[in-house]
Amino acid sequence: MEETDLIKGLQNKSHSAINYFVQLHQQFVFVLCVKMIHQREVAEEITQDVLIKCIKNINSFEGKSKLKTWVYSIAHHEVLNYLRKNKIPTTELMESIPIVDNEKNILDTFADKDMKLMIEHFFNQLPADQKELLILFYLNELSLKEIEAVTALSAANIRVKLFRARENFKSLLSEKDITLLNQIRYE
Amino acid sequence: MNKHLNDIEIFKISNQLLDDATQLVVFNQHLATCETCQLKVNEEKSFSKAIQSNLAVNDKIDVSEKVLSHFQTEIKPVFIDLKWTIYTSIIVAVIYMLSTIPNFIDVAFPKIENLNIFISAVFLILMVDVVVKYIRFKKMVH
Repeated sequence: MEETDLIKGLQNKSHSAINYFVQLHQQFVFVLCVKMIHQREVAEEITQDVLIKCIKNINSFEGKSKLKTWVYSIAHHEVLNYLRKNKIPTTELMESIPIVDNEKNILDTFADKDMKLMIEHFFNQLPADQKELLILFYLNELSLKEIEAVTALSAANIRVKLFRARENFKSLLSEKDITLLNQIRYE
Repeated sequence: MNKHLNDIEIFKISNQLLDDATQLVVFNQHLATCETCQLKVNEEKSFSKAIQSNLAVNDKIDVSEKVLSHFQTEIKPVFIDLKWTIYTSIIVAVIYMLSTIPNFIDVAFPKIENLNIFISAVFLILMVDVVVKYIRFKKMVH
């Protein structure tokens, strides 16, 4: 289905258009929500709310960007609203994480399958804005332009923020502690 | 370019975040000759792949039923709308008028051959349209 046909269908609230729209966008919205919020049920609920909001407000879609980018920007605002309402910090928390130069060990960490849980744990420790950029760029594979449209940040700013996010994540991983892994396992 | 690439440059080139074509050429030329930087780029690429594979979300969701049910109350299936009724009435009236004109105007009106067949064809199209609309309406209801 062409994007223009899909938009017309959504404007007419056609069942097939709604179904197609949901199938097309639900997974990537869910990825953003579940990674940012860490609760599957809440993430699913927000995904649903985002898609309903998009369909309801389809007339305000001006076609300046791709439909996917527009959906993403709504998801971005909904997630931030949720985090703010629940008083989860959305700005940078860690200003002074030392940059480590021990890439070899970090790659070893990734290679270890048992460490997946711990990697997830460290990822969750990142500030929300950094996490979001990593999700958009690495997991949902959005281009720089698309991230620009979603976050309203400039391309140069996104590059720097992405770099810092990745450096912070790397630093957190390099400080891994095996006792922490056990702690997570028995939580 | 003799000096090594710095961390942010390594990051940009590994993740294809460079938009300056000249810079890209310079960096690529340097990478072709510098093993240290090449190694760093490869490590950065491995790191990116590792992030993707370790943080990937394998959990699939399907909220289509819930979203559709939300709009169920708002969507009112329409069999034949007002616009269709008006247009069809006008077409039928025009056809009727055309067919009766020769009876009361005593002029040499251009005679349409097989007028009945023509009118029947138009009505057939209208009927097919009604059936198609009914099928669509049924689909929306169920």
